[in-house]
Amino acid sequence: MHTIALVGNPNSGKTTLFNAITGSNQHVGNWPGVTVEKKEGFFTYNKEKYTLVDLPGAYTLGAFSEDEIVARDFVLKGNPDVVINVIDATNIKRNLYLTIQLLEMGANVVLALNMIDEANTKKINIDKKRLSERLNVPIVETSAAKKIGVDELLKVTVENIGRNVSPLEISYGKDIDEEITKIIKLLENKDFLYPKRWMAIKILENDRDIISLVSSDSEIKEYIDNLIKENKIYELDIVDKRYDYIKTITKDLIEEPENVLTTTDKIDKILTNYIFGLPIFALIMIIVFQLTFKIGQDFLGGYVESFIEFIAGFIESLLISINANELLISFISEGFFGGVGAVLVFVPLIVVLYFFLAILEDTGYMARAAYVMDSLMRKVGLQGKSFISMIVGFGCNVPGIMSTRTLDNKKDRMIAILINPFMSCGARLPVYMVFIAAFFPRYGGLVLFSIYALGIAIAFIMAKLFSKTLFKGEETHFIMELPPYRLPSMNSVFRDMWEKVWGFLKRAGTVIFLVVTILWVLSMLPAGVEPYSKESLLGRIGSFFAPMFTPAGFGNWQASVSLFAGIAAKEAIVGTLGMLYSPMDLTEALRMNFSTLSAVSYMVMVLLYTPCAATIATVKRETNSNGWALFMAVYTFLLGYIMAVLVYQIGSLFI
Amino acid sequence: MLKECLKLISEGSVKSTKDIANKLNISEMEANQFIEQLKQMDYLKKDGSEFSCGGKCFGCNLSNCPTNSFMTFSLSEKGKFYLKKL
Repeated sequence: MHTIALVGNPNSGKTTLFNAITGSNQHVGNWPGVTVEKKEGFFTYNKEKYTLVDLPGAYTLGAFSEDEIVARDFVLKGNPDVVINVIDATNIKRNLYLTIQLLEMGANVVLALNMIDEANTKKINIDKKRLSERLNVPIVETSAAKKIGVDELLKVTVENIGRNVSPLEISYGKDIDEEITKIIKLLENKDFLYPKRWMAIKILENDRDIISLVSSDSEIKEYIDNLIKENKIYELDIVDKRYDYIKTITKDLIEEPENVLTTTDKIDKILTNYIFGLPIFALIMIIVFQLTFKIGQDFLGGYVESFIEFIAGFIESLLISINANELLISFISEGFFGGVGAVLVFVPLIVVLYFFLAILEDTGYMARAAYVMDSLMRKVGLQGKSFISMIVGFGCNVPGIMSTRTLDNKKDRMIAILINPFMSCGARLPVYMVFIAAFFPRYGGLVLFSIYALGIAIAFIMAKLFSKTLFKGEETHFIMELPPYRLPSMNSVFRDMWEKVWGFLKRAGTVIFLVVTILWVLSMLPAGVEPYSKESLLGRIGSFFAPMFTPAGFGNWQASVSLFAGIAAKEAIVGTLGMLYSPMDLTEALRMNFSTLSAVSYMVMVLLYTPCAATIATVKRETNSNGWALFMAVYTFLLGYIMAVLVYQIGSLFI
Repeated sequence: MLKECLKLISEGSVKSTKDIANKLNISEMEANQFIEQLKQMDYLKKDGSEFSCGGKCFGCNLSNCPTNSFMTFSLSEKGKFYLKKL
């Protein structure tokens, strides 16, 4: 029984063709010694039965994967009578690379020019007759999916069984051709199953499988060692020559419409434009922040606040009605609802902001944002890829710092770690929101955008400084693979959004609750003192540090306590302020205790000062150094403090 | 062309296959093909391929793991060595 092999690139329609030819007469097994699936089937043509073997899809016949080795071994050692090479007519030049390798092996090839209907739709015209002459192989146009040309393919295949073919010999240029000749000589009279010239080329291509095979021969091994010693690396030249050969052979035979722009190309022309890319990114972020306020605060915020107030009132009444301990009532109404409740009020904002960010990411825009930011980032000594960790840092600095593992270069990684806390994380959002609600209710989106932009600007300045001082080194370059634009999957967007909200709620119920509880206890001690007063233990601690913040405009003890609570977790800042000013409405209390200018300097401090404990612990873990963790805690505090003082002092000159 | 692609990437003058296509005056499809070839031959390596957060990091505002969101490839040791040799 004759054996026919089917070879082709992945997605060339090879398996569809296999199914179209064999129907249900097929069985699946495994190639011996590997985990690659072996599909074999049978078909009858002119009353004669043939075996058809579907070889694994491969772009080349090197030794880069098991699939390739299986495919080429079968072509060389399985002795198929004909090899049907299925090629995608819409991407013919790429597919012909495999064809050329088959021809170099001396296989008896029949080309199935598959997906010809799609090629016609795309107005790709291929001069099949002349291509067949130049390649010296029969070509049949097929559309396996529509079962077009399958009978003709079988007819041509059967007719070509036993055709006398000689291996294709491409000239690889003087140097390589000379090496090939020398290796062929060395291979003469040696008992290898493969064609000598093909083996010689593979040796020069540094094919590990063939090199390991021939290394048993000391003479050849010595030759290969000398090639390595003399730095004679030819593999790229060989590949290039094959592409040149394809170019020559297809010259004037393939007509393709030039530069057909896809939807992604058209959108990219605008969104990744050299001049407009960055302003568009800024504009998109302003819109996102503005929408966050409009929907999250103005529309949804009121409902959540009323709901929390309702629950707080209900529980307080219940506790009073059952004559509960006064301290318990105080803890529940002022400590828990005043503190944790003040944080929970911001859940709608978190929901809306992350909903929009998830949409931007899911559509493929975030990757473009990294693309447009790249040039700017390279100028400040950052790698464009650091933008991934920066984007992640906008959610939480812990995974932001962890994602710097994507940077291989130590210099890039250290800089990316040290600037990540300036990416304002979601936990700091409630602080800005409450201050914006108190002082800038009409310009929420713009103020929030400015804070985020300031964080990025400071990150860039520090990156430049670090790259010029602490971490000098060579730059690494890369190329990005941008995903095509797509409509966001609501499933993925809502799942992502829910993860953020759930994480936020979990932290509110654990870390924030713990911090608020400790602070509540401190604000009640020593016994007999007026709760939440300056005389309480908490008030005394706060008052000790408060003068330090006077130059920054927020030298009250509540502000200093909240900042230190924020080192445990940033959400605790609002929780602490909410508890300390309880039962007064927080925004009202802030207006009484901060000026507009000191509110701005406080927000700047919160943006830049020491990141939360979890982030510092992550820095320690990722850098494996207590020193860098301490450096991070101290330098960010100093920077935040200096910036807050500068904002307040310079601002005071004008206001 | 493969050598030229590699050189362009090492110089940092291209950021995507689109840029490579423009610089070398070839189609984007061809540029993609060359990049795929370089990846397959280990001249380019996927960055951070050893890192995976499994998409479960709290606070990460990407719906997928950041390393899957978009990929970057840079010169492998083999690629760097090859260019040094040229």
